[in-house]
Order: sequence, then structure tokens, then C-alpha cells
Amino acid sequence: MKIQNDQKTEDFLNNFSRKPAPPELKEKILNEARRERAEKRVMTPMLWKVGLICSASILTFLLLDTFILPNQKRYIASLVGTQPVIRIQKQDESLLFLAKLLNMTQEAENMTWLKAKLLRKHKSNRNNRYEEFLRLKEELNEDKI
Amino acid sequence: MDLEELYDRFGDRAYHYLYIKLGSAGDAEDVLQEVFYRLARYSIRLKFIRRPAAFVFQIARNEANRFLKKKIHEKNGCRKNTGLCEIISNSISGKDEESVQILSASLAQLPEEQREIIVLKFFEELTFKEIASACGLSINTAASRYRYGIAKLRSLMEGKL
Repeated sequence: MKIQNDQKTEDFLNNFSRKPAPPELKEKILNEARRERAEKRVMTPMLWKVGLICSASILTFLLLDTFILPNQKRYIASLVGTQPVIRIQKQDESLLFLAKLLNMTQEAENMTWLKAKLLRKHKSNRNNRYEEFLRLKEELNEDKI
Repeated sequence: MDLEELYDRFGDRAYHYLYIKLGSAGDAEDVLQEVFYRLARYSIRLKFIRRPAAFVFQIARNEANRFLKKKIHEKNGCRKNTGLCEIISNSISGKDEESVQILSASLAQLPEEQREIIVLKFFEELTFKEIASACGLSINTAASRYRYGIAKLRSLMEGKL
């Protein structure tokens, strides 16, 4: 019985509708809102352009960095100076080339071998570097003999 | 969804809701303006709103409450709620003037939270889900307030129709 009565009340309420808002209200509200948006806009068209260019540059850099060959990376690092091993290798190659020109191949190869050995020991025996050098020199002399 | 589309869909309904809630056409216009300022500031995010009706009415309700709080504070804690019946009767239309008066008088006597739900349901055509979202209630609470409101409205109108 109660449901029926409530249903009647709802049916009664359905006979009513809201009155429309004043007709000029829409234009007034929207114009003010647009003006507010234009005034308080953080991203100007210029800022959008700058942002897009920066994002594109970063993306390009990251893509190139991913696709660059490992050898090229190493070579660049050697030029920049972050990987001394490569730098020394490159120097040695130039030295050997020069030695070939001067007919001093054997001496140059000995020097390269000594340097490479020194470099391998470099990290573990930093404190005894001088003694190690002397020991290796003796080793070299023995090899020669 | 841009501002104009939002206004076309919800502007009049929000104005009507605010008019009944605030009791003044001027205040309703001011608060509706605040609502659209706020929506304008959302700009890009407006495209991602899932339930626009609930979103707009939630902002309208929050702005109206903020406005009322400020008004009450300015008037040292007393809010005049006179003429609510007249306000409601000015904002709705029906088949005859007498039934409009009876309904307005009955709605004015309802507790505010029940009246709000009935207004949102019948005049602003929101679903219970949207009402619950706009008012920050659970759907069950919104539905039960509606049922109590309808029952009370029926008892208030009994014998008058």
C-alpha cells in the first residue's frame, strides 16, 4: 500500500518541471569563463612550441643513443677521456705505426706489451706501482735474453 | 567536451539547483559563474571526465556550500531561510498554480538533505549514482534519503490535493 502511495507521489512530482534560466545567462557565464581562462592560462602558444621542441630534442637524443654502435660509444668515450684503456690502445696503435715507419718495430712492441701489463695490474696494485714496474722490466729483460 | 557543451547540457539544471539551494537568483548566478570559472581552469582535463553530470553538480554543490559558509560567517552565524516556499514555486512550473503552491510548501518543509536529493532526482534529472557522487554519499544513503523524503512529502501533501 505504501509503495503504491509513494508511486503516486512520484507520478505527481513528474507533472512538474523546472522553469528555464534567464536567456542571457548562458552568454554572460560563458564569456566570463572564457575571459578567465585566457587571463589565467599558464601555457601560452609560445611555451607550447618551446616545450614541443625540447621534448623532440630529448627524444631524438635518446633514440640516437640507443641505436649508436657499441664501438662508436667506446671510441667517443676514449676521445672524451672516460675510458683510459681505449685511449692508450689508440695511442699504441699510432706508436706502432710510427715505429714501423722508423724500422723500430721490436722496441715499440716491447713498450706496448709492458704498458698493457702495467695497465692490467693497475687497479689491484696501485700502491706498489713502482716495484711492479721494476719487476716487469726484469721479466722483459729475461725474456729478451 | 568543451564549456559550451557543458553549459548546454547542465547549465540550466545547475542554475535551478543553485537557485533553490541558495534562495536567490543573484546568488545562484554568482555561484554558477564560479562553477564555470572552475570548469574553465580544468581545460584539457574536461575531456577525460567520465560522469560529467556528477562532476558539474559536485562542483556546484561545493561552491554553493562555500558561498553559504561565507555568507553565514558574515552574518554572525545566522542564516535566514525565509521565503523558501516562494523560491521553489518561482522555479517550477506545473499544470495548475494551486498544485505548484502545495508542492512548494511541502518541499520547503522537508529537511534540507532530503529536499536536495528530491530536487536533484526530479528537477535536475540525475540518477542515484550521479546524485551520490555529486553529494559525496553512498548510493544506498542517497536512495534511502530519497525514500524518506518521498514518504514525508506524501504525508505533508495528504489531504491537500
